[in-house]
Amino acid sequence: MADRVLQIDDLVVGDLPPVSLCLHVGEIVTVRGPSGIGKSRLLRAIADLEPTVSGTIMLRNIALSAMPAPKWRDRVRYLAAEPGWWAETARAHFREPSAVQTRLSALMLTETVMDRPIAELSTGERQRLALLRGMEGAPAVLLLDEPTSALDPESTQAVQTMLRHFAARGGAILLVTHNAAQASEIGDRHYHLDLQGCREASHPAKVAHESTSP
Amino acid sequence: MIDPFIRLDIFDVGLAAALLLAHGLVSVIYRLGLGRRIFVAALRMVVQLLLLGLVLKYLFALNAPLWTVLLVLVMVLFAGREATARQKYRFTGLWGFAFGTGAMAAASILVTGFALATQFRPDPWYDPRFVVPLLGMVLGNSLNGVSLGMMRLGEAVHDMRPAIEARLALGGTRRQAFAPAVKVAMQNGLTPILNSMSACGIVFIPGMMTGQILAGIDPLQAVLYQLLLMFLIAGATGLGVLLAVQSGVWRLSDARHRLRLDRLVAR
Repeated sequence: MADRVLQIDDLVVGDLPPVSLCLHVGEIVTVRGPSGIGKSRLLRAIADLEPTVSGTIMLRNIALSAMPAPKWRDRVRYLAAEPGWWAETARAHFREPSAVQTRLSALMLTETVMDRPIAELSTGERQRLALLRGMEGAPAVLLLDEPTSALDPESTQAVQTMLRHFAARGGAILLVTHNAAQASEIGDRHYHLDLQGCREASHPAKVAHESTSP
Repeated sequence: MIDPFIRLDIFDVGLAAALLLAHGLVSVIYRLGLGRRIFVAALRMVVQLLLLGLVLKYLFALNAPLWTVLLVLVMVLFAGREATARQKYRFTGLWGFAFGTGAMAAASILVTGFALATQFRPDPWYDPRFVVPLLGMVLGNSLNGVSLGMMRLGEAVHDMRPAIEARLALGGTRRQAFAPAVKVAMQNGLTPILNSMSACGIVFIPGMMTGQILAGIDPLQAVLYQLLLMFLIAGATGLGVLLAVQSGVWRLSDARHRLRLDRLVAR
């Protein structure tokens, strides 16, 4: 087995029972479960955007609490389902806009998308720009919340290809998705989250009751 | 002095108060239902100002530091309550009141102290004839800015939540993430003093200056007094708004650079 990049033990967030899971280098791991169960909240807690009740989160062998929060979030990036923007145009949101310019076409975005007002872009364009923004600076882990919810099939494929490349170059992805087909297509392993806890499933649609994670 | 000032008696004021009857008439004709409120507001003003006059008269005669300090304390507490009384989003617990009061108290007392120590130098330093009117002017005017700044901060942080959290999630510090909200809050808090600095003298003649001129002071002296006061007010407002907004940001985030909207409640 490849080395572990993210290790979560008995993490208690909100009303959910303790969650334990791990991510290995190069892996895409999916999380599915009923709506409103707290999947987004779990991702936010892993990014330290939300206080946790108890449990530990480790990036390689460094605990979350031992790292300054901005540095932790630079390594463990959470991308919300609805991305937020703080400037007028997309360009101002990037660390190196020139490097991003060359990657726009891979996600089927036009060249002009960087300089048009954010408010005029479509939801799908904003979603893909948020992904490019979140991948800047090569974080160790991406925590994705429904990253293709507003995309057509072609754009979805383009995003999935980019995510596979990210994982192949040594990244790890924890992906929350409602789409079972997407989970089985892109995921290497699968977790199911509900009020009974977080269990590893052999198939994204089914839950393996006998095996508890990790 | 150019002329001795003209003494006012109760009948002069009563005659002017008759103008309020016009308000009442309009309210009746147009069925505004404001008659009672106009009456109550006017009555409040009369009672409050008469009380202030009596208190000041008594205080000036007493000339004791303890009583002056006590009055200052009462003024500051009332200002703090007023500053946070009409917020759309308020801080949980007493934090909003504490920030409003603390910011205004620190800024106003510092600026008033500065004026007492440099320009006025009353003897003794606690002479209520200087301390109370100066502090009252500075406090009353910075109240507006602090109130608007804190109100806008709450709204901005609430409305900008996705943007603030996106910035934090990408590894930004709370200082970076809150910067846009701080900017609009500061701008909003400083608007009244900027407006009155640019408009006074053309659009309106400040109340204090009017009073001094009516009381027979040389207009140029009245202008110098007014300028000094405006600068004091501008200084206190800037400092007060800065302190209030920064302490608000401190409360709406935590040491782990998280956005803590749970510490803000809609009224």
